[in-house]
Amino acid sequence: MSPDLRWFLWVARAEGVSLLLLFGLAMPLKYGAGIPELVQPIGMAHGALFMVYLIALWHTGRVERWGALRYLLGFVASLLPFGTFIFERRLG
Amino acid sequence: MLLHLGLDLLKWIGVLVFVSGLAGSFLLRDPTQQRQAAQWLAAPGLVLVWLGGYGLLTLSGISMMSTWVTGAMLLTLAMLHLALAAVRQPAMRGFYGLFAGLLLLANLLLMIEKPGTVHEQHPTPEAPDEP
Repeated sequence: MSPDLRWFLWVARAEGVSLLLLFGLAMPLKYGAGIPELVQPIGMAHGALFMVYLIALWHTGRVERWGALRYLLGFVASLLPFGTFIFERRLG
Repeated sequence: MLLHLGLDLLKWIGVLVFVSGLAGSFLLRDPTQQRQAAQWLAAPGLVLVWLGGYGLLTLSGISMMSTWVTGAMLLTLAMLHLALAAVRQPAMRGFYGLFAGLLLLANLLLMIEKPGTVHEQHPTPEAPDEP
């Protein structure tokens, strides 16, 4: 596995975990328990990781010479819970 | 007070890590070290800067839609992109490095001048009904 791909996978995992924390913890706490305080910080962390993920997707794809479909799958994966983990398996 | 201090520290650590990563990606000679600087310093540093900065904005009641905040976020993304591009394209490293340096200066100016600051709108408490 190339160093670039290894780095991308770590970024993807971080982004995936942040999305799961947002959807699985912060939002249920807000709407289920009336505790909205976690949404903003976790949301911001996810936002930052999402932007870094997109940049990492672009650069890693250029190094690995991915086609347009793989870029698209990578982008869509970042929007779905567990998506980046599934995308990681496809890359592996 | 303690929270503000902690967030300030987080942001400054992020800035140090981010700028170190940028510097390493443009200035180091070994391609492996350049890649490591861009990927494992600059990228996580950006996340820390954004987190710390967001926390400070929230405490200060300043909106993320303020010109200087949005501009700074875009500039840091552009700098990270240039650092990674420089690793991929060694022949362009000097040009990308110079460009990233200019973006860093622009970012500093935004941080100092803070143009277009917008404060968060807080709902005013309703006045009690007249007797």
